[in-house]
Amino acid sequence: MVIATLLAACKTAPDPEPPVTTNDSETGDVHILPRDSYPLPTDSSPDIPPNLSPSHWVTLEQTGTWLLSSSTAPFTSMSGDLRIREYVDDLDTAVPNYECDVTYALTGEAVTQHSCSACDFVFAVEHYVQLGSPVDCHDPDVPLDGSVWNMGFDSGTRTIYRNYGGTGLWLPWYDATKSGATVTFDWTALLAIEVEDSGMM
Amino acid sequence: MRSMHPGVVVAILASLLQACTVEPPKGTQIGAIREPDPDPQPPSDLARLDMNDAIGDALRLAGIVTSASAFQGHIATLDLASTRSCPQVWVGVPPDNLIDIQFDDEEEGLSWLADCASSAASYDGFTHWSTEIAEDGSTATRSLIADASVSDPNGTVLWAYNGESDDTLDMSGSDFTYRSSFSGVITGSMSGLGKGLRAQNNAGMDGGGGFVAEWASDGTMRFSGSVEAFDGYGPIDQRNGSEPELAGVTGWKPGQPRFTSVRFDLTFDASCAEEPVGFVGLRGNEGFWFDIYFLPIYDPEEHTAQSNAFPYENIDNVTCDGIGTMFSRNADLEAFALNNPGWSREIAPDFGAILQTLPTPTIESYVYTLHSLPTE
Repeated sequence: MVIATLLAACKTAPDPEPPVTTNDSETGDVHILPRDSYPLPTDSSPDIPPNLSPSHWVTLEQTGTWLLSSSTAPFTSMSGDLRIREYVDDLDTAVPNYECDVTYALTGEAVTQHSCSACDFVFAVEHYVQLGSPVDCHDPDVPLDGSVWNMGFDSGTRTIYRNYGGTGLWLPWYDATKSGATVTFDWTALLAIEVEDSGMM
Repeated sequence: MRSMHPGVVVAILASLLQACTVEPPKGTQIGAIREPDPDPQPPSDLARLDMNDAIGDALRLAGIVTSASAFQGHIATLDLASTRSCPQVWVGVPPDNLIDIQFDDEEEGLSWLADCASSAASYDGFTHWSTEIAEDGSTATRSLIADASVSDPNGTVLWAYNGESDDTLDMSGSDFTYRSSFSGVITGSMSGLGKGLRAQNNAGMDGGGGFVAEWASDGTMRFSGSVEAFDGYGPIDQRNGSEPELAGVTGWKPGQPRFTSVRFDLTFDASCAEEPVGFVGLRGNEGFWFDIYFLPIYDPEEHTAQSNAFPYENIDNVTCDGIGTMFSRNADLEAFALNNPGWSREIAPDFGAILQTLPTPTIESYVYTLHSLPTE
């Protein structure tokens, strides 16, 4: 098609053809149709703004625990767990239909040289997937198997921060509470999601 | 349907073009197959225009026609949101029956789709974006597709972008390489671009149709595409409005920026550190183009359609010395130089100094996650 167009362009351009007119075959007169003699298509779509309200929602839940090496500082290491679950709309508690359900075992070694000025303590947290697959999750920032994240706890804001991608930018990642040698944390989000029609309804 | 290998198609098209293109007349410029007689007159202020300064401004403009600029306003207006429902944030892509862009269903990232107002801003349209940062922080990449407008409660546009952009930053110690593609129209006070701009790559061969801006700490640069700056750019216009070239130019005002648009196909490569390959064309506010040619993209001796599209037969200096040759309104300015002692059609911008001023983003500026959104 392109080649044909280029070849055509090489030729001398013909004079433009005159516009087609409609003549009465008997008299030769030009007929102009009156404006209301032919139907115009009408826009049948409703004159209302589109409904932008989502039909489906996805709930993202992340909960976990750090068990510190002692109940008082300094904390040299920790172990723990993290569970990430995501589900669309209502969860059937009898037969939970999670989009993703991943359980991690966590281990952490204390990091003493870090840039988190707010953090009481920082660990290099290694994530081991025990159950499930992180790739099924909608959150693009779930840890993959073997990921090591630098994370720190700030008792003032009761927040666990994450050094995102090693950038030195410490993002608030989980709400967290420390009680003795245990830190519990969680994060939840509810977001709109487009669900492909399965045709099963 | 079986498709032909792209290389075969290119070869066929090139041979067809060669076959149907005769040797162009002397003085042929990019995109202009003609030999004006007499040559069109250059603008009346040509002899006092500081074209080195103008090219510097054009390159600095090119340095902000990037995905970084698009994201700056996008994130700033997201930070105004106090809830996740205005604008409504979606995981993945927005529903394809509500927007006029067909996404891959499996596309990751986040979106907002809205026609809503909060106390701080009103949001209209949609955006879809994704960001990826290597776990060691060495590489970051992101993309943004938007047809969106965000305004303050008074109706002043804070950020409006209709287009697509993406960029990648590679870091290795203190060394970096930044690559961006930007297409579309952007405006609004939070865009950081004044009244805004429009940019694209008409050649469509680089950056998927977007204006390509690349630079690196080793001094290499590449700019390809066209930009129209709504505020204009370059030195202040010193003319008073009575000049013949301004007759009939609507909207011209004394003291406005001298140039409106710029077109690049400019590449620094390892073969010459002092001078780029390609050209830069600056459009004056009266509508005249000023084209500065540096090292040839195609060998002028090969006499192909591509090489013949450039006026190197009228350029004496094609050595690696940092000096380009200017044409005005597609006309050779050799005679103008002879009639204006002290003026030269040869231009030597300080590319190295300009590179130092280009705003390279940081890896941190790529970070925006679900955890950065309002908690509701």
